[in-house]
Amino acid sequence: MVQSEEREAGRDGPEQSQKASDRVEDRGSRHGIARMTVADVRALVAGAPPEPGDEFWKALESDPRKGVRAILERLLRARSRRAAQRHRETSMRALEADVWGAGCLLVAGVDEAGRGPLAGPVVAAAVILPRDFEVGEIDDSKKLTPDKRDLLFDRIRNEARAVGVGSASRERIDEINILHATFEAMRGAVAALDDAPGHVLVDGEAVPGLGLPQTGVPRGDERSAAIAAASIVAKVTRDRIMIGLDAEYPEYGFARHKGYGTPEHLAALARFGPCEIHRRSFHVVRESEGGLSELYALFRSELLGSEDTETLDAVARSIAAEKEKLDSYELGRLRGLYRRCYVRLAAGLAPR
Amino acid sequence: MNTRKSGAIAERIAACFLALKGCAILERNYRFHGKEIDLIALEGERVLFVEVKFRRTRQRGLPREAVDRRKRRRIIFAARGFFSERGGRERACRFDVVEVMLEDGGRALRAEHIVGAFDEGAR
Repeated sequence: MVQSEEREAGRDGPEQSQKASDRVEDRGSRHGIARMTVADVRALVAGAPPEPGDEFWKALESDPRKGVRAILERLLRARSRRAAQRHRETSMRALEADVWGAGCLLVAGVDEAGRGPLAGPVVAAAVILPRDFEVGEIDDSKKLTPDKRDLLFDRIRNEARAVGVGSASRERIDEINILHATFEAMRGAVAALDDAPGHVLVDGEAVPGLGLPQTGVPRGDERSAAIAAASIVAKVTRDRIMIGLDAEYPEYGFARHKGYGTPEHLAALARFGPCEIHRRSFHVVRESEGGLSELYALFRSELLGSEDTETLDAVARSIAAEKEKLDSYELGRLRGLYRRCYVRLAAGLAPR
Repeated sequence: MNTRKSGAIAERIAACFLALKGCAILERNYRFHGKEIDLIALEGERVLFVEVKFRRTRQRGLPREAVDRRKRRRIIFAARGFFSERGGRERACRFDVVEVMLEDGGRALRAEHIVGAFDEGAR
């Protein structure tokens, strides 16, 4: 009798209570990961990724170890990234989808490249994407690395319903100014499409004289897949043209800056003067041509060097005193520069 | 008698004490990745995480047993691990201390159950 009592009480103290222990378990099974190392948990997750709500997921949520929390964090971030990408597949086609909904089948996106540079042509592209096109990494060409751009360029040319490219030469830009030349290039790109679109989405402002229903889309190259695709085609096409021209005019570094006004380009311009492909109608090009007088250069630096409005006005008065020595172009430039410097100095900023 | 032995004995005494009060003992020396809890017990529906302390002499009548911040963090960590291991739902729980002391020059044994010595909020 005594013996059995002893056994019940346990010689080392109260028995661990199994029934009570069961009450602290959840209906679900005891989960394995608690005794696993973080590295093993990571491997398990990699092999069989859990979904929110299942037992494995709940075990990850309740585990206090930092390493396990980090694994959960990674899973959550990956899920939200995938969700965002899924959303993007829809949102980037939304503008086109609206047009399809209205009954129009072929929608083209249009964008240009090369409006800003000091040399070379301006290039525009028009792209019609098929309805089931996967947006993937298609985005504004400016947001992509050159390598990504090249890859996407190939994909667009393989998968697009139609691609058209148009351009305006440097001479044409000098003739009719860059804005009109860009429009010409865009009209050319649309005309070059094998299939005529029913509607055109243009980055920025609508194109005059296009002859087709169109919508100007502000920041269209970020918002619409078709326009973004066009921006990629235009940029890559133009970049390759400029790399080709680098062989003919090696002094300027066209292969690197594609004609944009980088420090390297400006230095080369100052040193060698402009070449055949520089846009003479652009002010920066003109100023390096040497057709401008020393007096102009002097006044220009005096205006920019003025520290207050009184000094600025003194410079203005000395310009007025010598105005016969300057041509109308130079006077116009100095006048504009005076105005801009005045505004900046009056506001308390440095002149440039 | 070294401290480890007396600590172990104190833990058994504390377990008996809690059992006498009607608690069920769930775990002894529960370990979760390097962090330990001396005793896990069930009082009704509430889970008790108990730290056991053995004292040879009563030091100036210390009313509360202070568990230092580091130990507290470790106990809380292990408590979370305990719930996680058993299905993940955290339930009503409490962090207690049982002090086991020799008194009266070694003539008496005293065990004191300090309820709610700290809580999760206090990091």
